[in-house]
Amino acid sequence: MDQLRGWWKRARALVRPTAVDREMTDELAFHLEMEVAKNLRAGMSPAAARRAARISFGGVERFKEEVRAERGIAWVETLGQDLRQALRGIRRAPGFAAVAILTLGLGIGASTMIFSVVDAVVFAPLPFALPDRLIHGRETNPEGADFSVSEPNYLDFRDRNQTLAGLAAYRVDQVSLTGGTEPERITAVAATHSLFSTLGIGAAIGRVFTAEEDRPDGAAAVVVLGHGLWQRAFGGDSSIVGRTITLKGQPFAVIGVVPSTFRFLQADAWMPLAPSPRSDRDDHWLDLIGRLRPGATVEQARADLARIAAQNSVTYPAVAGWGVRVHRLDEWIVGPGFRQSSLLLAGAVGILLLLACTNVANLLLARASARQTDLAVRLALGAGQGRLIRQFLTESAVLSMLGAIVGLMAVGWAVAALRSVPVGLVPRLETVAVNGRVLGFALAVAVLASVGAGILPALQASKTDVHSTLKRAGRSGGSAGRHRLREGLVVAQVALAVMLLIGGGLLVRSLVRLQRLDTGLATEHVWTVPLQLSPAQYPEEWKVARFYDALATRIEAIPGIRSAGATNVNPYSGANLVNDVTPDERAAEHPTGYLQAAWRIVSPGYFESAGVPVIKGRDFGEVDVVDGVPVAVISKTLAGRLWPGQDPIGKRLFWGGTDGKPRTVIGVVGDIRDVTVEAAPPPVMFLSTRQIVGPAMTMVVRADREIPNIGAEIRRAVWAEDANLPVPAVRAMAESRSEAIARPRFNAALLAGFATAALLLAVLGLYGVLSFAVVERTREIGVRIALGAEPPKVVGMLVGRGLLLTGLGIAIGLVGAVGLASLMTSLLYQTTGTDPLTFVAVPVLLLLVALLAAYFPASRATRVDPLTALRGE
Amino acid sequence: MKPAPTNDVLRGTLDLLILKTLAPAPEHGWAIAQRIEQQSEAALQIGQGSLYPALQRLEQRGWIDSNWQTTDQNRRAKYYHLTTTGRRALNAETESWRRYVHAVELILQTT
Repeated sequence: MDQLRGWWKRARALVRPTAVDREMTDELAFHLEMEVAKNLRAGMSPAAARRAARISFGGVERFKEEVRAERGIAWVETLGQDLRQALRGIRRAPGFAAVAILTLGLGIGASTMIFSVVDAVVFAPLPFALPDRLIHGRETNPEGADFSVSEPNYLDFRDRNQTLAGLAAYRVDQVSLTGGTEPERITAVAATHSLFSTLGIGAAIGRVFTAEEDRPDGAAAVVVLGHGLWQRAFGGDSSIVGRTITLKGQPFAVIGVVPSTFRFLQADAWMPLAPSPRSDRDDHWLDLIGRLRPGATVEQARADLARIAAQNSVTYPAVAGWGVRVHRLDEWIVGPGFRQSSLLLAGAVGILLLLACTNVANLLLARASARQTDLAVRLALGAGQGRLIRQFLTESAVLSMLGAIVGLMAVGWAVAALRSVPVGLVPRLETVAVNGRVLGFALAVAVLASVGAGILPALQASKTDVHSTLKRAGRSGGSAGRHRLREGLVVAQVALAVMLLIGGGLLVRSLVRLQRLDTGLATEHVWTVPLQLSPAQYPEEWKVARFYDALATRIEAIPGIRSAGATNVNPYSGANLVNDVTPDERAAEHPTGYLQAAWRIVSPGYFESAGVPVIKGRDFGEVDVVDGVPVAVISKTLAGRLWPGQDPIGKRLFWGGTDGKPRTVIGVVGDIRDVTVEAAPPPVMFLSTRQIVGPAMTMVVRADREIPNIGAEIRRAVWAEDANLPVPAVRAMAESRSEAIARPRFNAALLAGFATAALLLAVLGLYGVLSFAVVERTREIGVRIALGAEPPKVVGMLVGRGLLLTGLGIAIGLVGAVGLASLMTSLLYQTTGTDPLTFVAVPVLLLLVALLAAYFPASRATRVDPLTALRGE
Repeated sequence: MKPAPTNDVLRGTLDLLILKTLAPAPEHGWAIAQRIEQQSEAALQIGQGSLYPALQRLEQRGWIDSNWQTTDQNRRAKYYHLTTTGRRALNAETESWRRYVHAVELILQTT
């Protein structure tokens, strides 16, 4: 009961603070009055009595404060007061507030942005049932390189493993969808029926295909539509199920549509794969997805599949030396490249955030310095140190929260912009969104930032020396310690900026090297267009070859076009083909293949179109015919690997198995890198379309000059040959190539952006500290000038101070940058972590900027009129 | 959070003294301070800075309660009185204080 009353009083004080406060004032006034009365009785004069009572009583406000603290609800009250005070402060100094909020907004926004990407890509679970129990598998070739899986090997893995509850195989293809207004190219995934059950996904409408439709003796012509294609091409019409659509020129019955949450491999359609044990064991073209049995681990599955691969390696010479590579599915999707980039970005963002905090801390320190008298008065009136610290933290918290709002608005905008980054550069990028976790993160960062920015000024301010500050009576001027602290912060800022600038500089240098790198393929006035003929319409190879020849002739007739040729691998599309290559004389010794080389089927005009020089021998031509001598052209690197120091022309080699007919080398051409830009040139062999050809080829078109409407011109030429053929966008080779280095460019652009922001913050910090120092030293400068100091000397003194701080920061930053760069080595192309140009350019740039930042406040100081300065403020 | 106490009297002791002073009859703050000063023959001086926070504390603990009354000189003042819990607390505190003094006394007597 009594306890209850106690609580009631506490609550009342909280709800009706003024009433309680008034009561307290009354009570204390009564106390004072009684004291005065007592003194009067003791015979004092009324004035003396009042004075004595006041002295014995002490500061009324302080007692009130203590009594309030005793009530235990003081913090709520003071929080309200501090908030009001902080907002008042912001209103009174809008410029300061704007800079502080924008700075914090930049730091919080940038880190939240990176978090939202990392969260969506790395942390968010895949949209499948129990995604952490899924694995992804591929084979490795005898050289240990990552490789696709062959059908018979897949069936062995599926049937003989002891660790998987299910193992599915799939292959991604581009196929044409016709029958609509314009032929369209879509991404189709041929998969085993078990893929759906393994992933734990069913159809949203209709059904997925069954084991019956996925039998080795022939896949049923059925298709399951992806949600995106269903919406895009069929307007989300559910009556599509049961209808027939034309894919690859053949009819397929639509049996179902998958749910919109099932986004995998950017697939538009799913068809049965129907793997056969009788197909070529050496024909590797599949990827595997499996689900672990309850209790089994990824390591066990890896060992299990490796055991099967080792057994096969002994049983079948075709896969001797082949192994297997198994990853958790989510880890495989994210990939090491992205993980590394995100670590780098996280580091960069951390530095930026730190910089933003330092800058705001510096601003707050400067303000605290200007408010020193005010603080001293408050301390003298009985404000506790804790109270002052809290007030500063409240102020920085308000700034951080406003900064977080600004930052989040920027993030919302940036997320929209990020989605325009080319698909495939960053996996799962389309799922990036500002969700609850991202908001939580932003809030956490804001809290961190408010402590980070507020704690130093708060501690400094609470140490204000009441006596000396008040004695100086309003004359501004910070203590030496406070000034040194601010200078220390500037040094730290410069150091952090140096680290970011050098990191960004290294990536930019590496990117420039990549962009200038000669890949052996011409990029100027070169366009590519991938085509896929319908097997139904072109059942024979000679018809395919005739189509591409006729098309090349038609395209070459366009004015300005120099040459047109076809290749079966679209440069920089990510596609690649690799097979065994064995010199005739080594076939007995290496019946299963001497080495692995990339191979391309190209038409006679291809080398001219792609700008690949013929170094020795000749290009393919009319003389190479289907029933003639099988021929091959090899790259310089392959020639060196197969016949070092010998003339390869006229030599013979086996492509694939050594039991067939060997091919005669008729020419050597320059090296090309048409898959990735940064890897060393691979060995490549070329075959002629006149002797072997497939329906999917990419036309490479080269002109002498820029041709307007090249896309429309090529489309017209294609449709003149085959009106039903889908023609995707015609792309400039330069564009595809630059997309192939999109990740390094993405990294470099982001880090360069961060570095620029860091430079800006560091310069702001430097400028702020120096101009404040000038204001503080106005009197001193006035005295110096009055005593005859030359203004240039004064400027020199101030600028020298600024350069000294910058120099110190640069020295520290360089040490940090060496450490940072050593972590970045794997991201750099032909650029060492100690790239001299970067390490010289960055400090010079910073010194120049520092010079400017220091010069302006300093020159302003010398225009001070000595008389005004001496008269005081 | 709380400012360090600057009382002349030990904090725990002050609570006990206030409770004891209020035991016979309700009193206002000033009178409590005067009474303690007089009864201790001016040995104990209660600063206002300790008195009012202590009163606040005791009130919140539910040991004392207050209401506004008129003094003999017709002035409004806040009078404090013991609650039932407060009376029990006074007995307990007195008891423990005596034990404490006795114990200290024992130690001082040896030697």
